[in-house]
Amino acid sequence: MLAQKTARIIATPAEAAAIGSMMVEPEATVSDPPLPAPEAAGFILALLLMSPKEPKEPKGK
Amino acid sequence: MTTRADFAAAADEFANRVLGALRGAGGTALVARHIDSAPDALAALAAVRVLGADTFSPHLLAGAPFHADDAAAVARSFDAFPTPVAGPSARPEERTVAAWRDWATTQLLGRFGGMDSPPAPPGPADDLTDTTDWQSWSVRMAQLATLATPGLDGPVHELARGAAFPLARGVTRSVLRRDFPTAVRLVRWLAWLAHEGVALPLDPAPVHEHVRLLGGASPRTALDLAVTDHLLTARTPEAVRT
Repeated sequence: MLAQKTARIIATPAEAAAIGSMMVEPEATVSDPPLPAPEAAGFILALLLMSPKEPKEPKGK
Repeated sequence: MTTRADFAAAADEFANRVLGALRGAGGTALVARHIDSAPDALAALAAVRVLGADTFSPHLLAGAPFHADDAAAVARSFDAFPTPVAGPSARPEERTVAAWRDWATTQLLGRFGGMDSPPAPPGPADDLTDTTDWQSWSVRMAQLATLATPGLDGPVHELARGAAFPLARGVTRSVLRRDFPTAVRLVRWLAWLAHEGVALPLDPAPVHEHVRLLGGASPRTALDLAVTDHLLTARTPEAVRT
C-alpha cells in the first residue's frame, strides 16, 4: 500500500531541473582516443638516455 | 532541499530494485514499496521519473504483476515532477528528449495502470529526424534508450528503424571514446532493431559483450544491459547482416 499517498509533494524548480539533467544525461566528457604525438619522441628518447643503467650481477658470488 | 546526489543515490537504489525484479526476485508492488520504504519520498519519486519506462521492464519482459499501488506511485512521480527539464538553461533538444521519455512512461502507465495516456509530443523535432550530424543525433538516441523496449512503438521507433547505420556509427564512436554508458544505451537500440528484424551493419551481440565488461558498475547501466540481454536472446538470428 502506498502509505505516503496522502502527502502531496511538489519539487522545486531547482529540484526538477536536477532530475531533468539526470533523465537527459549528456555523453561523457572524455577525450577522443589517444593519438600518436611525434613531438613526444624526443622526450621519450631523452628519458631513455637519462635512465640509470641496468644493475649488474655482483662478481665473485 | 534534496540534492542531486540524493536523487542519484535514489535512482541507483530503484534501478537495483527493478533489476532484481527483472531477474525474478519478485515481490509485491515494486514501485509503491520503493517509495514507502524510502527515507526521502521526493528522492524516491525522482528515481521513478529518472528510470522512466524502464520502471515497467519487469512487467514487460519478465511478466511480473503490476499493482494498482504501483500505478498510483508512478502517477505521483508525475505530480511531483511535472516538468523535469524546466531550468532556464534547458536546451530545446533536451526538452524534446524529456517529452519523448515521458511519452513512453505514460504509454506504459496507460497500459498497465489503466490510466489515460496523453497524446504523443508533436512528432520528432528536427534534431531527432535529421541524422546528418550523426554524432549528436546518436547521443540523443542514447538519452532515449528507455524507449528501446518491446511493446513500445511510435514515431521515434519508426525513426530508429530507418537509422540503423547512424546508430551503428554512434555505437562505434562511443566505444572509441570509451564512453561506455552511452555505448551501452546505443547497443540497446541496436538490440531492439535486431529484435524487430531490421538488418544491421553491426552485430550487437559482441559489442554488447564488450561494453558489458567495460560499461561500469552503475545500476542504471546494469539495467540497460539486462534489457539488451532480453532483446538479444529473443531476437531473430537472421536479422543481423554480416
